[in-house]
Amino acid sequence: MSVGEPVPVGDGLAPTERLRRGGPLVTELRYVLRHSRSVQIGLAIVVLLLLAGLLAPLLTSYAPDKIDLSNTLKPPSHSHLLGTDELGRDEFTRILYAARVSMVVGLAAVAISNILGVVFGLVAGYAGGFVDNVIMRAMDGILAFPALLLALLVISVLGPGLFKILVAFGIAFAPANARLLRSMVVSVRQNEYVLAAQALGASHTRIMVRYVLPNAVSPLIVSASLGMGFVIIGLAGLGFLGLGAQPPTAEWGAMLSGSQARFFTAPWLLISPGGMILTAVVGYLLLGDGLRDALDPRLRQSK
Amino acid sequence: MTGTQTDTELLRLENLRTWFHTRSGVVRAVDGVDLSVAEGQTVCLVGESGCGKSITALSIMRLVDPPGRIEPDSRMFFRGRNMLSLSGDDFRHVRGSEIAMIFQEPMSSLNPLYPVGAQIAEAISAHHDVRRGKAMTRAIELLDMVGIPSPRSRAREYPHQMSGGMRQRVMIAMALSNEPKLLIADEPTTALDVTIQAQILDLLEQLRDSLQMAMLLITHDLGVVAEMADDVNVMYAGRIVEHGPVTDIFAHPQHPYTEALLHSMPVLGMTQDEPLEVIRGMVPNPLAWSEGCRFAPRCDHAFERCSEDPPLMPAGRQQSACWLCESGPRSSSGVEVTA
Amino acid sequence: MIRFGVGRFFSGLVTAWGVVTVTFFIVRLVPGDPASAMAPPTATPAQVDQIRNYLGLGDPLWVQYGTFLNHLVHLDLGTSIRTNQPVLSDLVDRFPATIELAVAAMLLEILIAIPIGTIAAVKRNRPFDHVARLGSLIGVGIPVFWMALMALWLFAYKLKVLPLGGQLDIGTTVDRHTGLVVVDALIDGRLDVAGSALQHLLLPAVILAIPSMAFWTRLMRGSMLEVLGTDHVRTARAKGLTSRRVVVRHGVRNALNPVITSLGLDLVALLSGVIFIENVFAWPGVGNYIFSSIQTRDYPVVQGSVILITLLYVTVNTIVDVIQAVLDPRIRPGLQGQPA
Repeated sequence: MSVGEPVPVGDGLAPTERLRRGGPLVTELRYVLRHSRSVQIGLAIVVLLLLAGLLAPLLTSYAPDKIDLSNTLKPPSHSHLLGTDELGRDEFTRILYAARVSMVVGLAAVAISNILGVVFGLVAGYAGGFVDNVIMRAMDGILAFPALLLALLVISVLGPGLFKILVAFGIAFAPANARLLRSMVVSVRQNEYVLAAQALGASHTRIMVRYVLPNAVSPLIVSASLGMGFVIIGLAGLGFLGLGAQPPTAEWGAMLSGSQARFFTAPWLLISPGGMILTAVVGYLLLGDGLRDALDPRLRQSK
Repeated sequence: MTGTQTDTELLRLENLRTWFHTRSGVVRAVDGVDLSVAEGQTVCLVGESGCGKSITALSIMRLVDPPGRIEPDSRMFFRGRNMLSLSGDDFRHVRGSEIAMIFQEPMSSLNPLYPVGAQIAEAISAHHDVRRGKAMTRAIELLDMVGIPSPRSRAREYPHQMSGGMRQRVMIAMALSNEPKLLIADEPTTALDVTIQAQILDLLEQLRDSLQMAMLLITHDLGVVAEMADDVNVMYAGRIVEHGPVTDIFAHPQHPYTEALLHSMPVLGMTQDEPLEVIRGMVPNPLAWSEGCRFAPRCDHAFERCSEDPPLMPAGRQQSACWLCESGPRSSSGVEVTA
Repeated sequence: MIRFGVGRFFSGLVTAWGVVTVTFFIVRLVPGDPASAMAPPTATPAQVDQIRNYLGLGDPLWVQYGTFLNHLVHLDLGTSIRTNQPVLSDLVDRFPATIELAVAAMLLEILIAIPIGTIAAVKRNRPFDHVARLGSLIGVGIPVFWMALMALWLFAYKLKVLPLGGQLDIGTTVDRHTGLVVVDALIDGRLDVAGSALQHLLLPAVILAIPSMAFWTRLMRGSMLEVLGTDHVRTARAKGLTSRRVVVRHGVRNALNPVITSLGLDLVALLSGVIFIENVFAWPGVGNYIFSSIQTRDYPVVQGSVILITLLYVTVNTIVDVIQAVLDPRIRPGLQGQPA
């Protein structure tokens, strides 16, 4: 058992059987949780961060935007666990509130990308032919763009703002999900002919709901987890460039940028926001990677 | 039908055990196999899928990957030397030159990125200090020997440009390039079309005779056994359950499993009145071999003694791991082998 | 083979065209007057009018599109509001500096990541593998700009081993031959300047390379693991080849093929990273240019850069496709033999 090690999840079902039954997801997840250290660590980090963000008001008595010009650039101390920034605001507090921002933006972007991906993937897979082609080419076009550049493009036209960033990332990560869903639909449709004999008259929706969606859940969870990681780092990047969350909103990337000019005098201000970004991203990536390795049917075997 | 028989022992396996230590438990794929091959002899290892015959072959070549490993009490001798005590590097000199192996899937067994001639030449240069030109010339000779037309131009072709039958010939050429004493062939014809199968078997027979090479032929096809073998080992659930000369095995199989196998083969001239006999039950789960005789659950002749694991016991010119043979050979119905 | 390459290029162009069209529409989707939206708040009415003219906003949409494509074909990417120069010439001016960074980074990452990924796969689940995987996970997750800042602080400020930024020491100049400072210095025979330029290049290139290095390591490891499990590797071992030969000639060689397809992706990812690196290290390249243009809402520059980058991506992908065909006989046109 080690980081990212593929975990054999054998339940004795042949691939076509799993496809029919939609997979016993919960038992799988429980098994994975018990055996993959990658997932354990990742999940622990993610949960801690979520709690930190949610419970921010309880964990600190300062307000994140409370300016105190008499107390600027103080090193860490008892009253200010991580010191104060250039406007005398408590760094620890800002870090916690920034966690909120990252979580919310991340979740929203991932939700958008999943929904868009599912919709487009299903439509493309089911319609086939011309529609399929058009949609997939569009997806390829979006994939050609790294998410960051896409977001930059949007911002340069529409101006900065968390909502726009969130939408831009949602769109940027949708194609991966769309491809996934589409290939699932296509493979189920091929099996469909086997089921057709039994299911004469079963509607497309029923087939989708019964056979495609349940199998799509695990890969979508993996994709969501990895997506969160990438969105967080993208958001931080934009924040660093001043194009993300606008002051006085606390956001890790923006905090780093603010401390950039002062790294001679107050190096501690560099460490905390960056460290948080790193931790958050690594947490989500570990979780996503671990889940993917464990849930990948190819790596699963009791050989 | 038979190759030359000498009494010089080439390969001997004693209590070979290859176990896979997986998370779900220990898979005893090969669980105490004794086997020997004499110089020039053709020995067949027969059994259904999952009985461990391929792993046996891989074990001989020491190509078993973790989590599998050859367990400590196993013994393997080749030309009198203890193969399992050799270092990896030392064994490398044996592998591919004194003992060679060909595999089941010719479609994927060759590297798609290099021309076939170069791959054969590589096998030669690995064991002999020759210049590339010479190795290549030899490679072309070998291609000719295995019956590939226009060998010179074919040598420059890539695997994907060739058919399955051709690729298997290339594999054979490659295996024989260093004139091995023993060729291990793991289901060499299973993945090929029936007509090609016959050609490849013919080729193997020719080469065996002209090169005076011993062969360990692994197959599940009793027809192949009948045609090629001098000596037969029947394998079931990781163990040898019967062993003997081919004619005897076919004429009067001693182990119920062998008997059942022989009768489950469709024979030319059968009519619908004679139902195909099926061995009832399923191959047991290798994660948990049962106590006692492993074939007992599926055996029509099982009795109380079978709860104890039977060793291989002599039964005429054969050996059989069945309590029914405790007091000598039993009468059984075999199948005629047309010579 | 040439037909193959040209064919690939054209299909890439189709994608590029799609991207470019999207760029076209994004501006015009803005509610209100696109010209004002594109202009920075500080623009004079004359400048806004200039933009309006350039965009042809008075004309019907399809005429605008025609004008847009026309501009593109003539390589007219507009005029920067900030510098008042044509965007294209601005970009061309600054491109070499970015290329220097990007090439240095790519060399580093490939030279380091391929061996590490290979060894990690060969020594699967042993300590080396764990360390490599953890390292690559961190490498992907660590924000480039943070690493840049920390590295700068450590090496330039604390240890004073490396310079603080810029391509050359202040006051030093080099005659411009290629625009690649190290190369130009060497051409001029000024080894000391070349050395100094290398020193300046070192830190930004390394930092830029790290996320990509992590990416390539994971990619290579995955590909090697897959290849090592194939039948032909088993055959190679059965032939009695040394492990090294098996790994290199039958492992790495085969594993590289799918990995190379990612070159285009990596380049574009590098270009994203470059924006941050050039910012932190005050590097006079395209990244910095784009960044300041975004900050000053100089849209023609952003649009022009996006288009240029996309075209670059298409070109690189085409080259990669051709290289792949060279390396993999299975996809070479004309080598599809008949099974005899």
